[in-house]
Amino acid sequence: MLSGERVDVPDVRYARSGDLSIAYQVVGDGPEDLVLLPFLSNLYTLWHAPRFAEFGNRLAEGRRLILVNPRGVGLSDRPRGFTVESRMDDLRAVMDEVGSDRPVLTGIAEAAATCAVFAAANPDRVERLILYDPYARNVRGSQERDEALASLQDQRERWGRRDVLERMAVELNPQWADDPHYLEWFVWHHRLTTSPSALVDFRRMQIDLDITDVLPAIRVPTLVLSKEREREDAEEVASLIPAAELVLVPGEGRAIQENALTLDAIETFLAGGSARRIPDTVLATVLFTDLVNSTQRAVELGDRDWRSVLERHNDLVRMELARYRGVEIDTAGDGFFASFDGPARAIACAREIVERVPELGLEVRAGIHTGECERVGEKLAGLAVNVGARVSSFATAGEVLVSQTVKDLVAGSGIEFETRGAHELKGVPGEWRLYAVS
Amino acid sequence: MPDIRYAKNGGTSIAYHVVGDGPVDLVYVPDYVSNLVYAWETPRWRSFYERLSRSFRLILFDKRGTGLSDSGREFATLETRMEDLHAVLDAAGSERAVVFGSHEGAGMATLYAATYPERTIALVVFQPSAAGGHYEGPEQMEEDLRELREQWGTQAWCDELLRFGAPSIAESPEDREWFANWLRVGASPSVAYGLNRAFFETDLTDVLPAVRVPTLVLYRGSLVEPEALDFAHRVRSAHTVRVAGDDYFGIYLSPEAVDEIETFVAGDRPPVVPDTVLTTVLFTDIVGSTERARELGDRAWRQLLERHHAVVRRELARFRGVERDTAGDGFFATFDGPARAIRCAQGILQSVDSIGLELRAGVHSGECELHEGKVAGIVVSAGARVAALAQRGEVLVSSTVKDLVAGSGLEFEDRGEQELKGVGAWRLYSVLDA
Repeated sequence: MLSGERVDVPDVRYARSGDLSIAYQVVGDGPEDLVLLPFLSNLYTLWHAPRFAEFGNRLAEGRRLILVNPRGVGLSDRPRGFTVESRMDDLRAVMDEVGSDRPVLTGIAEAAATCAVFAAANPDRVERLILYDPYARNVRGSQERDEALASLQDQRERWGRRDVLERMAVELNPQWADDPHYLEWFVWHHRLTTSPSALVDFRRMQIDLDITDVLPAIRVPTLVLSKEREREDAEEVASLIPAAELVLVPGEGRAIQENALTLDAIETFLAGGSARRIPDTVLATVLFTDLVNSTQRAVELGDRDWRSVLERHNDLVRMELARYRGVEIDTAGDGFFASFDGPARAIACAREIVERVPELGLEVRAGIHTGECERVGEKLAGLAVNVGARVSSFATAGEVLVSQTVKDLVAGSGIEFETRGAHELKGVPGEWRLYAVS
Repeated sequence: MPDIRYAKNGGTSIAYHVVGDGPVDLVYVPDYVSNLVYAWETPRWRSFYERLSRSFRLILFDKRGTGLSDSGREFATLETRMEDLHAVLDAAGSERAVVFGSHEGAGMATLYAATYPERTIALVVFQPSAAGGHYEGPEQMEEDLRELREQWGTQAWCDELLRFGAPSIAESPEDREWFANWLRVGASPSVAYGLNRAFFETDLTDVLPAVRVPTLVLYRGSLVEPEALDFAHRVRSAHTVRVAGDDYFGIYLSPEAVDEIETFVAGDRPPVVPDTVLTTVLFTDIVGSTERARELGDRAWRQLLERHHAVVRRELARFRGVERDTAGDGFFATFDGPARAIRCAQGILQSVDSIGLELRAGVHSGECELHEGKVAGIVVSAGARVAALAQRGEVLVSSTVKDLVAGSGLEFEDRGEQELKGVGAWRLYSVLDA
């Protein structure tokens, strides 16, 4: 509806992710699939961006291009709050809905982080990974973080104003600064993408999200693309992902469709290489729970009563695991070891467990870590598992303790932490910063 | 296009803009979903708005959850959306406005006009219905809602809706595409579902007689005629005009409606100074107070009563209730929205539990007379009677109240039709605990 050329916008469909409807589009037909997650976007207005339709249609040649509008913005349902985990759920829901088993996954800027974590956690669902304009973290250091948080109220008040959005437009894509169609589109697109408080929620997630620890766990062939202006961030991301290819594309702006060179780089990457082996390592979140003073309690109660209390404890833990989609890996004596596909769910599950177990006259401690694990049949093994077990051993009764990686990934969830300092974990190299869930 | 601004109601931002600078303000309450930016790019809407803005200072906004506005934490009741309108008018510096609501938006406009007559110059409604549209029974409604939830925004479903709602433009591919996008950028599936469900479940029949501002009822087509005429009949002084055409949706298909509005508003009528408003009344009463007083003795009873008063006043303040009277051990308060009155009553009942007292509460909405800060009228007597029928620990409400809080998540149990002494028979409902 914007002035200028008429654009054919692909039909919009909605996949169900939990209770929410997630908007997506499918362009072209097979044989391979490419899923594209744009930055904060609206799938309707996106197609009217300068050169985007041309870019999208070319990308859809010889394959199905699947565009996803994760929750919170654009055409999808907009509950308050954003986390990488919920965005991953939305991505998976659309992939399932359109029957895409193992697409090439492409994410832009913040959405690149969602795609990167998804690929690390689900290497069997991602053929190849393309990260455009990615960054491992959006702010560096606590001062920058404080400043970013302090500016949110002001951003909220100014959101939607033409002059504010036009300045953003010029800053992001100076090459189109004199193109009235681009400026008009940018203002329009952003107003239809998000409202003031959704913007603030989104920025909150962006400010606290840090995927530095996750990137080394990616075992999917990865292409990192960026313009010269974002070189530093892209280089850091590429250096952290094993065997990632970095291509710096000429151009002044951040738009992925600025020129055909990005498309060429994508096609070259996708044409090269042979069919790959599905790796047996995945990014997983591990939860360890452990009963506190169990020996003493067992003595007090006697064998028979202790066994019955223990059974009730096991039932309770299993019920909570089921509720939060945790997978029980092992039960060692009076502790549980489980894995989750997202750290926020693991935290919520652990909290429930430590809060409810006292009903049985018992106390429990819990530790959570997210890292690369080896899959051995149904079991998980590897350093991350040891780290998780060690983290839980530092927890006090009734406490849920997590590693820095976990804290960095649940940005936007509203979960708060208290720092517990840096520790050495027995048998694990390095120093580990631990946090207690408040 | 005029620049977008945001008015704040609590933590929720409501997008609005002001067009033109006529001497009289007119605020348009859209039907179902809208999008300020997209509407302005659409020739049909733009020419309609421009026509309105030649006669009025036109205020346009997107309801929460739709268009450019924030969603808010949960699905909003009619009452909350009405407050959003209040916030928009405040932000736009509008003291009094013509409130113009179309189809589903007519409910919100009507409730606003009845609640805030002093801020409403006139009420204009297009395609109004007193109760949830014409539907072929609750089963059909559930079926339609389910289909909407599953298929909202897809081209095929939007096409079908357009063929039903506006057949005169449904054959044009451009209009079909335009309409699908209008729905998509207007609301996501769950918001559209919530709005439609609330519309079907809302019943304004009892509110209509409380509308005391000049009212213009516009309708189009034979489908809505019975409902529109019924609506007009229930409002005391409504003027009714049928506009040309047959399409069920789309006020923009009737640009001449603007002339009708202009003539009506400019009409030579004496200014109305309404002395009645739509109000929700809450009565609470301590159960078994005489026995308790005797048990405790005067002094302890007085102390307990003081604590009771403090609790009630704290909850009233929390839910913006206005204390009107304290008769012995009961309270009489008024609210500008029924959902808040119910939540307040629940809060009071819960809190007094901890000081060892039991209460009953009754809530009713209707037209009240205002005299120097005092509230009077049948609705006050009826409210007191409703409370008297409540059991200990129960919040009892009239059917009028229940019909107005659709979408609030409040649940009710039918208590049947009861004779209220001196004020006739009313169907009463018990509020279930959350």
